[in-house]
Amino acid sequence: MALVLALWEFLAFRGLADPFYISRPSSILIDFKNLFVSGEVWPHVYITMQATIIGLALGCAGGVVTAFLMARFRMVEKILDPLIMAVYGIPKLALGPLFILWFGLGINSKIFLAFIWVFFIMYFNAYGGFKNVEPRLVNAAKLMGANRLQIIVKIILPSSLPWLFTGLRAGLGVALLGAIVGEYIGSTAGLGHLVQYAGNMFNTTRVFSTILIMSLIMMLMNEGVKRAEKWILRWKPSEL
Amino acid sequence: MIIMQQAQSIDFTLPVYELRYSVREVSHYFPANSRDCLTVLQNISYDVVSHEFLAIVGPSGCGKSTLLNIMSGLMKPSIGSVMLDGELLSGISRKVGYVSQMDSLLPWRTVLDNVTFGLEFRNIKTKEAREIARHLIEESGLSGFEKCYPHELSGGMKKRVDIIRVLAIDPEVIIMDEPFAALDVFTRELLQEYILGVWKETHKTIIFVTHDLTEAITLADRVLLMSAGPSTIKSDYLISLPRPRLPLEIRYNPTFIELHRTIWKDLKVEVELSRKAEVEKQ
Repeated sequence: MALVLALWEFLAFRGLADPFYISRPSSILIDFKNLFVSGEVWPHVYITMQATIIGLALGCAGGVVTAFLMARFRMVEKILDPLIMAVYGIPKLALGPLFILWFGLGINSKIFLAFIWVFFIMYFNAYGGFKNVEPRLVNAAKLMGANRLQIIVKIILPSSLPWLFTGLRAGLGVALLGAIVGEYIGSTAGLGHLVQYAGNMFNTTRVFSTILIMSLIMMLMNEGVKRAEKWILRWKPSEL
Repeated sequence: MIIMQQAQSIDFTLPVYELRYSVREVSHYFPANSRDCLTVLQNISYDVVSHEFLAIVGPSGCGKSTLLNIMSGLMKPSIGSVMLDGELLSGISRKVGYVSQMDSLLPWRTVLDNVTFGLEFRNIKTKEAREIARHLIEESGLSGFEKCYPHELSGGMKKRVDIIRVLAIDPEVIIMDEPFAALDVFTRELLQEYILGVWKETHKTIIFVTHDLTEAITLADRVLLMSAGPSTIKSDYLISLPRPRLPLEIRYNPTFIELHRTIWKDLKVEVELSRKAEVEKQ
């Protein structure tokens, strides 16, 4: 990593590669610092995070509930499965312009783009989790006298948790992606807008420093979820 | 053919026996395809009295598990009825506890919380449930492991937790489906001793399915032999060995050896029949 940065700096400094296209790590860092010192970046971060988190929450909730109903009721599965598969087949990006037409340039279309991406990831993971509940655990609970609700709360949900966490972690990435891509397609603020705008102005340095911010946000969120997962799933044997 | 051997000695220290289970003319079919049915159990009848330790043996795939599922109320027989304490069994009964071959502990719960699991469906306060669980854990020699998760325990310890989880709900009958089959020989012997102790102390009715004839004779008052599928009760042996029994010693008792020989001869025919049926299937 350090080597790559050093090489990059060296090439740009010596004029062996044009900083116009690839910028320089030192300028990127300075721009990165300036963005925060001037406070200019905060509204953008806030707007993007808002769309990301709302989209993530809605997508997770929608995916889990749909997966649960599908795993539990054959009727629902028969009706919804073709529909879900059909929508899943559409490249979500192609829906972007439609969303903007429907929901306008504001936060709603970004939320929807994030939502639809998260939804599918969460849906497939949760469905796998619900279908893979050990029948012997369900039977054991039945034989102990558990009713249906108790089986759901005490057996099905906890045993699906590892799957739900996998979905959440994958969903995190696509939620941010959805929000940023939404901003690319059309918006007036947000990190995606910042990149888009800088790109149009040929401000490569700004493009890189914004990318750096995005990647930091991603790492932070990922780390947070990872820690929560480690604590909540502490009953799992650690893999070697 | 039903062979009944008279008990040589009756232990008068035991409480009065009463009829607990009464299985009457039970047959069970599974739909094999749209036309045919696979008969698993055919016309099975037997009684189980209170405080009895009953072992059921038979060739693998003879429908022992199906029979247990019917006795526990998980499944309804296609034909026939099961009476438990004079009442028709029509679903899962709170009088019955079930221990299966694979441990069915909840991996996300500690030992303590696994033992209190069944009590959560019986309106028992958490504090009281923990009290009961702690006591049972101590008695079974698992003190110090209360906060461990199942994956941190050995197979034998998991089985003990599985058993005390059932003891916690204090059922009148404990049904065990090849509970020790997945364990190594030494652990199995220790657990046989343990279950004999539990039985002696609690005097619960135990119905114990196994494919290990030595285990069946070591533990039980009575051994039912199931025939190859479609299964019937082929024979009914009284195990007139003195108690208390030590699993490692009782097997050298001449009566034990004699019983083992007789039942094994009987069982062997069925094992061969079921092998043949399996070969034909392939």
